Amino acid sequence: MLSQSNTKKSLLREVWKKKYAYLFMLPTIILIGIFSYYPAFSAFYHSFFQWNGYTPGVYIGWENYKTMVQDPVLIKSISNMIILLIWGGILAVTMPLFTAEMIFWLKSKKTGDIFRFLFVAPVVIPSVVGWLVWRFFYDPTIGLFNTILGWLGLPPQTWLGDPNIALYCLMFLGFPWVNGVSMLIYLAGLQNIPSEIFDSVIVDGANRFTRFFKIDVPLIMGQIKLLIILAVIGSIQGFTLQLIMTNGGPGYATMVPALWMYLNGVAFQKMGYACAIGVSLFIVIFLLTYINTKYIRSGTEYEGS
Amino acid sequence: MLKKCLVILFAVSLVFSVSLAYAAKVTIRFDPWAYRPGVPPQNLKMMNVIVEEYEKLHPDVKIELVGTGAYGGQDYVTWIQTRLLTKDAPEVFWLNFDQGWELYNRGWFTDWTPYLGKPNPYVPGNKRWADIFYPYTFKEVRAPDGKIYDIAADAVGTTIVYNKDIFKRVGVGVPTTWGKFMDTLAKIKASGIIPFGNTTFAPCCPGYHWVIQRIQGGLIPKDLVQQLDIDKSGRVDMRELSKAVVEGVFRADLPFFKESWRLMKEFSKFWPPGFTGQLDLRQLFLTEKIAMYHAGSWDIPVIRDDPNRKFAWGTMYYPVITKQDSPLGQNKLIIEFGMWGGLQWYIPSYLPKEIKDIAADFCMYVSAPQNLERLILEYGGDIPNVKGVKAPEGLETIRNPKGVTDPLHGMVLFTSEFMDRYNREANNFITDKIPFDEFISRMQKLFEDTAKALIRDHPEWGIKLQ
Repeated sequence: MLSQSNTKKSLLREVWKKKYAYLFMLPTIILIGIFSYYPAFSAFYHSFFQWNGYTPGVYIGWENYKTMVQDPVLIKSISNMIILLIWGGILAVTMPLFTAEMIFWLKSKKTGDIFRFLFVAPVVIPSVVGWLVWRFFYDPTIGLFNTILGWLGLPPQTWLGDPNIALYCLMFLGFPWVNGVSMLIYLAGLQNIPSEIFDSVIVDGANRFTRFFKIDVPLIMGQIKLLIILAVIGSIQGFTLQLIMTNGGPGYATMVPALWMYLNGVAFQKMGYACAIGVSLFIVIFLLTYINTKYIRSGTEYEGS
Repeated sequence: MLKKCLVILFAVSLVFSVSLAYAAKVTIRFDPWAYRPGVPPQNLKMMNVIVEEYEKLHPDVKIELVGTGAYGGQDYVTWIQTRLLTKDAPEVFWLNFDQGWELYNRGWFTDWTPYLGKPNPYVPGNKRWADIFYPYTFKEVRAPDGKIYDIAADAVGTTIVYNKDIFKRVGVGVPTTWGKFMDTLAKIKASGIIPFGNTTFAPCCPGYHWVIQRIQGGLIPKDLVQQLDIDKSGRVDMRELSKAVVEGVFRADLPFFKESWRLMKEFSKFWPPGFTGQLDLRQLFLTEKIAMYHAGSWDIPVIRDDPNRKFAWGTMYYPVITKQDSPLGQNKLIIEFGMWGGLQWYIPSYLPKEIKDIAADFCMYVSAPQNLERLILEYGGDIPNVKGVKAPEGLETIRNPKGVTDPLHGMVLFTSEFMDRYNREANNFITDKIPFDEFISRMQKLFEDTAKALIRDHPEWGIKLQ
């Protein structure tokens, strides 16, 4: 008890000692509180209300959450989200890592720099522009893909207009799926591995695959974890792709929970229900992030005895 | 010396600021919507001219043209609601009347009725401003509480535009009945051309309700319309439809409703591949990929003035559904014409009376026939609602006194959530994702859910839920 009180006192003393630093941080803390924490708490609070976002709401308890469980569109959108989540996770740990490995092991540093620039340069183009180009590719009447199918003597497809394949068309979008920033993060991870480890691997006679799985992957597990978390968050929160390309259609074929939340909140003025969906998405993201950080272990983390 | 200078400086600045305050003009922010000057491709100028003229007449008033430039859509509705909530909306703002119906019970809008009873000083001999408008204008925009929150100085409509050269090549004429229309579509399709452009995810407007309302308007029995249209306004508003749904008068399994979707599905064979996705129909038409499409009146000046168009084009009426085409055919010419134009004016309710009076005065000035005609003819895509104002050329098939509008307006007058779900379920049915009976049962549930929600939100309607 005495020790706890001493610790508290020393903490307060430390804070008081650095009071000017805390004073300078205060505006930032206040702004974060207003613009980041307040909306989040407000969403949680309003998830228990029937609220249109503009006029005072009516308290309805857990009703919005009960509606969620029975909402067939939300249920359908969750299955779409799971598919996109798995796909996003696979993409996060494959194509950018594969590209980073190839660039890292190039013999010429200059060539490596050129490739690194070429992969990262498209990042400066807004993703919406890329999506609009892809929408042209998928256009059933004048699009690129149907033109190619025509050359090959194959029947045209309706792509985004076909409820059976629209979701897969969205997944294919962005091929070959090398995200420049992810690739840079992996590359930085590989460059951080001490060269002595690679030398010893060569001396031991391990082949490239053994080196990749036994050395590279465990030692860049921190980066892999980070990119998986980002992919999970992106897949759960993201809806702009669906909004621009398909508006969640045809029917509800490409609907995702975040887009359904947006439509309910903004288009249908059911802000209370949208808040309930948002809070649920937060809980899912939080749990998945926790599982990821807790159970996927990084090769550079060591347990004390 | 320095002290003296400071005193003089203070006195001069005091006099200057007081005189500035006295000279300050009242600023009225006005959203010109589709009539915004300088926006490509039309680069309109007339609204600026009208504003300058008004400011000359009223040197104490400044008219500032404002707005988002986002023509319609949810982003605009969100923007204007936020502005209204923070009491910072333009003094005269644009909103479709049916969008206004979803919001009027929040008390944000001014009722125009007192102003409509006053004379318009810019129209010689006018005793009531309301008299310069066609009476149907107020019938249509009147909110379910009986008040008029929207002055609609113009209207829009839709029509079929067709490629005359393709019709000539294929050897077909303009069809007048549904059966002949289907034959024409089949012949065009056989020639390798996509006959008709339709889409459910257009950049501007959902395509389904335009088409289905023509079909439903041609099938709905007269006695049912009389039963639904309680206030005899010529169209069924959200209050009337909600009442009919909860009382079981209007159901998705009514024969006319089911027949309309049977015809719709038959029609869909002639639409472009991928019609359930997003298609730019005007572009497909201008590049001769489709032989015809269902165009808005605002498309007409763009098609007419397109420098790259290499074919002759025309507009045609929607074909009439006769008894031979369907046992429920009513043999009626259905036109699509409604108060969704670029000149719709709302005034926020929170403004002081003096500002409201000035805002209303400017609207009176713009609506005067000599001013409105200049705006309407320059833009070319809207139809005037003021008597004696010439309509632009090319819109003849949109406004025809012999035609009747669909009283249900394709259900667009319900809610935006209803329309979203309606279109998606229609997509599911037309693309064979769900069978017909399932579609009808989902539609019925949608009608019931929407009607009950609306009745709960509008206790002032006095409709009881059982």
